[in-house]
Amino acid sequence: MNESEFDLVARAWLDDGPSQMSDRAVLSALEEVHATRQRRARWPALRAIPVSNFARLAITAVLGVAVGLVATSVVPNQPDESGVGGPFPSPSAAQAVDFPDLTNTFVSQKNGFSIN
Amino acid sequence: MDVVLVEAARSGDEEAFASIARGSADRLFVVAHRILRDVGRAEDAVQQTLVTAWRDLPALREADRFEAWIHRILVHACYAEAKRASKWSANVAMLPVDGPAARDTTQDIVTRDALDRGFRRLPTEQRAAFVLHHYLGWSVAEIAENLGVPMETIRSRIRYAKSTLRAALDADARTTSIVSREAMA
Repeated sequence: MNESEFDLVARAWLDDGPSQMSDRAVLSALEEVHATRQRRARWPALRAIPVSNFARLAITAVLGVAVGLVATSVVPNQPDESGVGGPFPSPSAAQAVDFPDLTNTFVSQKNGFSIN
Repeated sequence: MDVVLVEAARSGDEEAFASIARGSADRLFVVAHRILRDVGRAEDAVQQTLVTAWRDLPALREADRFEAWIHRILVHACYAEAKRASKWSANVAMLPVDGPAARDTTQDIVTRDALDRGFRRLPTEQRAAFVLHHYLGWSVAEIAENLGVPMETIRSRIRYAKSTLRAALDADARTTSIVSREAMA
């Protein structure tokens, strides 16, 4: 069976079958419709206004430029020389440690030795 | 489709929508039936389609796109119906509601049965693409645009559907020829 023969057979097969929906089913659907509220469109006003493609492009471009300008004016300028992390902390003077005076002779009575 | 009626229904006129529904129900039903191959499920799909269409009609921007828009809703309702059917009756074979017409020859019946069997094996997405293309006569581009699916996807769905149906027909033809040979021997 070639391509066109298959198409004819398939078409005949698809044509075959019921072609009318029962009145009961249609009425049932309409009853359900009656009990259903329509969803309001989110942007009905905008949709109602016919806008050409050129106008849409122009509006998009203007909005883009405006957002860019606002972004550059709002974002604060960073100082140039400091780099990441801000200034380094200045070294503070180390706290003096109370070392023993090494000029004296240490004598260990218990172990029986001395260190000069 | 009467654009004035669509616009009235979009504004909330229920009578206008009822008029549209009565005018569209049979056309929608035929497409749903060809996709689902079951009268009850096709009616359920159309009912769901009409309710969804009424509810979402205010969101339809262009009234003259109503036909394509409602078919998109219908195809999605068929997907949902097929999913529900596969959940509850996975192993129940569905018999055709309309018996074979008297004019059918034996070969017609064999061919139709083979196509029926092949078609039932197809995923609903492939069935829908096949029906829209071969029954409604929509082009691949139209189906892709109306269903919001890439063209290549639609092309591939139709191709797979056709190859499955052709395979079913070929298998049936082989079986028939073997039976004939055996009968002659």
